[in-house]
Amino acid sequence: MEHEIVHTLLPAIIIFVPIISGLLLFFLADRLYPYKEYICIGVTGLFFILVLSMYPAIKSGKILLGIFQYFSFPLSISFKVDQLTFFLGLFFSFVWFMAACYSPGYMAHEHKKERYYAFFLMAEGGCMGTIFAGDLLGLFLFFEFMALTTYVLIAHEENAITMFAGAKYLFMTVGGGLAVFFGLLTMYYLTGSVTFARPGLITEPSSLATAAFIAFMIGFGLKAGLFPLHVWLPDAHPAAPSPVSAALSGVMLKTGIYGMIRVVFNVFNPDFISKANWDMIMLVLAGITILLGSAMALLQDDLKRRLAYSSIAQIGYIVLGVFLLSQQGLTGGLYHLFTHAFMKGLLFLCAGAIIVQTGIRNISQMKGIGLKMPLTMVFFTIASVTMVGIPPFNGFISKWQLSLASLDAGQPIFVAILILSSLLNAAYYFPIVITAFFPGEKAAHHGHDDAEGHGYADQSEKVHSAAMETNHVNAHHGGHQVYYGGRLAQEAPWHMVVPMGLLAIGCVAFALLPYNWPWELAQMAVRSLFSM
Amino acid sequence: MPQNDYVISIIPVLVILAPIFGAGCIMLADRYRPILRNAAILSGVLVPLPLVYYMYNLVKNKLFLYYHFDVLPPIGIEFRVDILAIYMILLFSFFALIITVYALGYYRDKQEGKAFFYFLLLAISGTFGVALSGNMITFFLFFEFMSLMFFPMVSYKSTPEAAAAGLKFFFMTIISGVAMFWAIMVTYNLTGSTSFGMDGLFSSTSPLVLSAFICFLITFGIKTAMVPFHFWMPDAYAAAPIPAAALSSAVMLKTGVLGLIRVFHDLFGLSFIQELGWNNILLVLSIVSVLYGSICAFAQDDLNRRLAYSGIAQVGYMLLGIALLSPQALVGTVYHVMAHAFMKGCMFLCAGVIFVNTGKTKISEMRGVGLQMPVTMMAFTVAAISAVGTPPFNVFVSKWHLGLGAYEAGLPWIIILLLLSSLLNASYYFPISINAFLGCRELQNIERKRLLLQPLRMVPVIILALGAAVFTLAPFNWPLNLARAVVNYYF
Repeated sequence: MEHEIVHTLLPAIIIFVPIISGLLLFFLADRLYPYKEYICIGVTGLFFILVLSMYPAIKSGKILLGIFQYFSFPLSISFKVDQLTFFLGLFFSFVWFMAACYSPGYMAHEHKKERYYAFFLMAEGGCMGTIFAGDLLGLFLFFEFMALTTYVLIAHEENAITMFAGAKYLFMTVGGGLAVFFGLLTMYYLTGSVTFARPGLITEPSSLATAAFIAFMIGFGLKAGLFPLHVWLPDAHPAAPSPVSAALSGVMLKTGIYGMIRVVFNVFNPDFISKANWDMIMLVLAGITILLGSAMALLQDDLKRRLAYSSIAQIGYIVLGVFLLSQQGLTGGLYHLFTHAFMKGLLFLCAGAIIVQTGIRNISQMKGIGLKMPLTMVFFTIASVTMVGIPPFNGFISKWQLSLASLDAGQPIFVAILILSSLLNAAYYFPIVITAFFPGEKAAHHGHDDAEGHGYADQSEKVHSAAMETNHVNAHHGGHQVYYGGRLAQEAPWHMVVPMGLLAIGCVAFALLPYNWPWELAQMAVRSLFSM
Repeated sequence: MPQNDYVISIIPVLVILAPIFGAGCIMLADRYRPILRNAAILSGVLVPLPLVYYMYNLVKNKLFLYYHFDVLPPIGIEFRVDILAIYMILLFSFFALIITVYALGYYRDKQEGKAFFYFLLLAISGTFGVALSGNMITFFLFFEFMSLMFFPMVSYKSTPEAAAAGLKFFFMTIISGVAMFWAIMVTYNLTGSTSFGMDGLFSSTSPLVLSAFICFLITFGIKTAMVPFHFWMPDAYAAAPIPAAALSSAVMLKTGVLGLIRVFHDLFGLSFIQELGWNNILLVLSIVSVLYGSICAFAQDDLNRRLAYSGIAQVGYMLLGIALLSPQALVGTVYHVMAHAFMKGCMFLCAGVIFVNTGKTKISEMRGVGLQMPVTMMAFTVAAISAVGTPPFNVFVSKWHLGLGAYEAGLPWIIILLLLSSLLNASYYFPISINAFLGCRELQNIERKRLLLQPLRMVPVIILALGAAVFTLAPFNWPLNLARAVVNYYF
C-alpha cells in the first residue's frame, strides 16, 4: 500500500508548542506564576487536540511530513506523522494531558511549582518530539532533551532519596544516550543516511552492524527498562512526583520501545534480524524481564516501587510483541503499549492520590483505604483487573494477541511466561485491592496508627493540610482524624478524581464498545509499518 | 592543495598592531587621561574586527592575503591569510573582545587591574600574530611573545602560589621555545624554507627530521597541555585571574592546535607523515590525554582546576582529530576548536562570576549557588550539557565528525573512548550544576537571596552560553562550513 505524503509543517510546529511554552514559563516565572496550572493544562490539552486533528488525514492513509529547515546539524531534521506515530502520539498526549490535569491537586503543597510545570511541558515536548521525529537524528535529539528535562522532574522533591534516584537515572540515561549516539554514528558511516526507510538501511551483515544493533538496544533498552538495564527504574519512578511517575511509566518508557521498533523496521529489517538470530536474544531478555519484574514487584511494600517493577514486567510484554517480528505480535505489542500507558498511568495517579490524602506509601498500611477513598480505589481496582488481563478489559486483548503470536511463531514457552506473569500480577495487585475494601475487624484503626507512627515528617504535614483543605466541613474536628465522619472523608478532590476516572474509562470502554478504535489504529499502524 | 591567488596586503599587520597600540594607549591614558582608559582598552580589541571582516570577505572569494617583511634575513617575516588562518582569526578576535569586556567587569577596581590590561592586550596581539603568520619563524616569534605576555598574567595575583605557577609556566615556555628553535633550524637547514602553504617541505627522512618532528610535538604539546607536558596548566589556571585563564583556554590553547595543523599539513605534508606513521605518536599521546584529563578532573575540588583538567581532555579530542589524518576527523578538530572555546570560555567566565560575587572556588562550597545567581549557573549548565555532546549543541557536531573520522581511519575503538570520555564529562560537570540548583531546601534564606550581578560580567557569559547552540540551530552552520572549507583546502 502506497502512502500519500502530505507536506505540512504541522508536526514540526506542534512539537514546539509545549517546549516553547515550557521555556516561557520557566524564564518568565515571576509574571506567569499565577497562571502556571492553566498554562500547563491548556497547552497539554491543546497538544492533544492538535494531534487528534490529524486523524482524518491519517485515516485516509496519508503521511504528514514536515521537513524543518531551520536546523543545521550535520544533517537536517524532519518531522513525520505516520500511522504508527499517530497511534502513539494520540494516546501518549492524552496521558500527558490527564497527568497535567491531575498535577495541581498533587502539587498543591509542593515547592517550586513554576519549575515543575515548566519542565513538565518541556518533557512532554521532548517525548512527543521523540515520537514525531522523522529521522533518527531528530529522534535522538528529542530523546536526550526528554531525558535531561525529566531529571529535574524526578529530583523535584530534592531530598536525599530523590537526589540519589535522580543521579542514578541521569548518569544511566546519559550513558544510554551515548550508546544511541554510537549506533547513529555507525549507521551513518555504513549507509550515509539516518532517515527511516523501508526496507531498512542496513542490509549487509557485518561486525559494525552488530555493534550498531547492540548499541541501539542498550540505549533504547535502558530507557525502556529492559532486563539488565532496568536498575534505575525502580528508584526513579517512585521518587518522582506521582503525575510524573504516571508520565514516566505510562509514556516515557515507551519512547524506548518506539526506538526499538524503528531500529527493527527502519534501520535494519525484520528478515535481517531473524536471520542474524538477534530476535531470539531479545525474546529471551524480554522473558527474563517479564518474570523478574513480576517477581520483584511481589516483594515490594512501597506501592510506587511495586508499580515500577510491574512496569518493567509490562515492558517485557511489549518487547516480546515487537521481537516476535510478526504482524500479529506487533499488533499485540502496540495494543499493550496503549493499554499499559492508560492503566499504569492510572495506577500511579491513584498511588499519588493516596499519598496526598493519607501520606501512606506502604501497602501494609493500606488496609481499609478503600473505605476512605472509594473512588480512587475503584479506579485502582479497574486498572489492576486490566493489568491481570481479565476478559472484558484491554489487557485481555493484548495478552490474547501476544499469546496467539507466540504460538504462531512456534514459541509456546512465551505463552507460559505470559500466564505465569498474569498470575503474579494477580498475586501482587489483588491483595492491595482486597485489603483496601475488606480490612477486617479494627484493621482500619490499626493502619491509620501505623501511618501516623511511621509517616515521613514532611508527609504527615502534607496529610494534615490536605485533609484540612479538602474536608473543610469536618476540619474543625481536628484535621485527618475525622475520616469516620463520612465515607468520603478522605477522597481526593474532584480535579484529581476526574483525570483518574477518564483514564479508567479508557481502560474499559474500548474493549466493551463494538468498534475498538485503538485496536483499529494499532492494526493500521502495523499494516503501514509492514507495507511501507 | 589547490593553488590560490594572492593579494599583497598590509592588513594582517594592522590587525596585529592594533592591540599593541591599544596597550600603548592604555599606558598613556593611565598617565594623562584616566577617563579615556576604557575607550583605549576597547579600541585595542574593536579595531581588528572590521579588518578581520574585510579579510574574511577576500578569503571567502578564494583570494588569500600575503605580506612579506624583509627583516631577519634570509627568511623574513611573512604573513599569509589562508582559510585556516581566517577561521582562527575570526575566533580569536571575537574571544579577545568577549574576554576584554569581561575583564573590564572583573576588575572594577581600576587600580587592581591596572597592569593586567597591558599584558592582556599584548597577549591578544601575540595570538593574532600566530594566527596570521605565514612561515614558522613568524609563528615562533609571535608564539613566544604571546607565551611571555601570559606569564605575568599567571603571576598577577602575587600570592606564593601564583608566583610558583608563573615560574612553572615560564620554564615550560622556555623549554617549548628551545624545542621549537631546534625544530625550525632543522627544517630550514634541510629544506631551505619554513613557509606554509607548500604542501610539505620534506621529501626524505632522517633521524634529524624525526627529531624536528618530536621537538614540534613538544612545543605544541606544552602549549596545548598534552599529557606528559600538561602539569603547568592546572596550577596556572588555579592561580591566574579568571580572564587570563579564559584567554588561555579559549584562545592560546588553540594556537597550539593551529601549530600542529600547520606542522602536519604545511611543513611535513600529509603523505609524508602517513608514510612514516609518525602520527601514531600524537595519536597515543592524545588518547592518554583524553583519559588522563577526564579521570583527573574527577578528583579536583577547585573549580578552576577541574576545568583545567577537563581542558586537557578536550584538547586531547582536537589532537586526536589531527592525528587520525582523515578529512572528517580534521573537520571535527577544527570545529571543536570553536566549540571548545565557547563551552570552556563560558565555564571559566562563570567560575569567575561565582568567585567575584561569593568568593567561592571550591565545588563543595557551591551548594545552592544557582539560587543566588541563576543566570550564571544556567549558562554553566548549558555549557556542561554541550560538553557531553548532547545534540543541539556544538560539541555534538565535533564529536560526530571525530567519530566519522575514526571510522575513516579504521580505528572504531576510538569512538568507544570518546563516548567513555563523554560519560566522564557528564559525571564531573553535572554534579556541579545539580548541587547549584537542587538539593538545597535546607539552606537559609540569606543564602538563597538572588545577588545583583555586574552586567559587564554577565553579558559575555550569556553570549558564550548562547554560542553553544546558535550555530547548530541557525539555518546554516557557518563555522562548520568554514571547517569543511579548511579541510577541502588540505585534502
